[in-house]
Amino acid sequence: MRFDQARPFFTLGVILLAWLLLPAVVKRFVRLSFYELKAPVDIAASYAGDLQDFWSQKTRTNNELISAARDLAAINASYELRIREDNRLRTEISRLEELLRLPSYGEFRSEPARVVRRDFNAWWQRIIIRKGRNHGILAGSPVIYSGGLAGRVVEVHATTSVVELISSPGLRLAAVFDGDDRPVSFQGGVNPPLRPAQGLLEFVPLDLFATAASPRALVTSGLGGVFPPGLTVGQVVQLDASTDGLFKTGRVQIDDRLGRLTEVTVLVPLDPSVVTPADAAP
Amino acid sequence: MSPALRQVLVVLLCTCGLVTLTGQINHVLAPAALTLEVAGLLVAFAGLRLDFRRALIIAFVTGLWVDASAPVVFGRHAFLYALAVCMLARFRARLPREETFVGVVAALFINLAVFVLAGFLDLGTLPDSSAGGLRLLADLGASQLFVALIGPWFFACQIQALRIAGASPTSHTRRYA
Repeated sequence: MRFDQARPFFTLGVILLAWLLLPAVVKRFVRLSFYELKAPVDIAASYAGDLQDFWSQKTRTNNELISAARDLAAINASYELRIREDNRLRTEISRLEELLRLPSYGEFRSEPARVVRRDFNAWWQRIIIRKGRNHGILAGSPVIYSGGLAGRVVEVHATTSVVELISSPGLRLAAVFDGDDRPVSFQGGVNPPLRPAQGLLEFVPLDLFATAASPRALVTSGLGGVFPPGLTVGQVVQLDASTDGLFKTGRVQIDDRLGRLTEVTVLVPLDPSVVTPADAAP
Repeated sequence: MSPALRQVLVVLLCTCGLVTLTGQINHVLAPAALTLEVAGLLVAFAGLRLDFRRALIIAFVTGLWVDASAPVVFGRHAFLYALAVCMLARFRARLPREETFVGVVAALFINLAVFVLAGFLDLGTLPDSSAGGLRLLADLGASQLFVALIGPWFFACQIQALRIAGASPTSHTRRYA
């Protein structure tokens, strides 16, 4: 190979070397600058989508609106009942905590946020939400949606935050079967095409059973992490003995609404020390 | 502003626009668990039609733009794209590089190469590599189809944008009297 033919690769090698020698702080600064430069583009697209929805809603007839309002009134009535029930249960929990001298669960502030972009591929499953440091979002905060636990905040920027979803292979958490108190390990799985997201289970006790015909609900355990207990993770649809025979491994079917998220709620801990830097991704 | 700088900025604007457009399509495709990758289209035009140095800058900056929001080592896509430009620079003298068809075929090959390379780099991070193969195959198939479909439009879009900016690339077609 003549030198003039190898010159492009030589140039690339020089750039690679220079890039590797560049201090990490400079790379971080460049990355953040690029991200913040890119964020308004995604946010603008998100607002354009909202506007599009608004105008498509404007085409609805009065009859459709009246029908929707009637449905909404019924839903609101049921929510009011649940709020009362919720208050009663909270009082009961406080009373029992006091009586048994138990440490209280972490307190959270709810911060609803619109989803700007869903970024799902084989390697990671993340969403970008339209709230960030300016709204007091903390890295490591749990994120929920109507189907249960959505994931946790891994990056916080000025006006946006990045949430790693529970279907992402990089996310692990301690969970329990609904009605059982022994923790199992949950990890986001490989998400097959044209099917809902899945997760993997490890260290399941041998006396627990679940099949596709009789699935068991999996909920957060509240152990070792910021996730409050009792949030739905998914449905365990398969359990097989692991190779060592000591535990079972399994497959968790995650609610397919996770793939269509448009709005989530960030549970921001009132005590920021609850979310340690280790809870957030690098 | 010099024509060289105008060329770089205009093509960068087009590639960043394509990254945003693909991001929006992936947003819509998310419930179907499919992802489109257009790495080939991001570098093919610059690599085939522009001066090597300008093409390298465009590929590198576009890669950083992609890297900014991806949970990978910052600079990984930038180097993959820059490597693709270097490969194109090695072969482009032998190709009728102003033909759109050649550009689209080059984009398809680069897309495949970047997909496979990125796959090899990340395969160990999947909890079940064998199950991941099906997803990767589906993503690759959809991406190649998408690149083949929008390739001619994107090449024409870049040529028109450069013409409007008064920075059309030099023609290398041999004309015979």
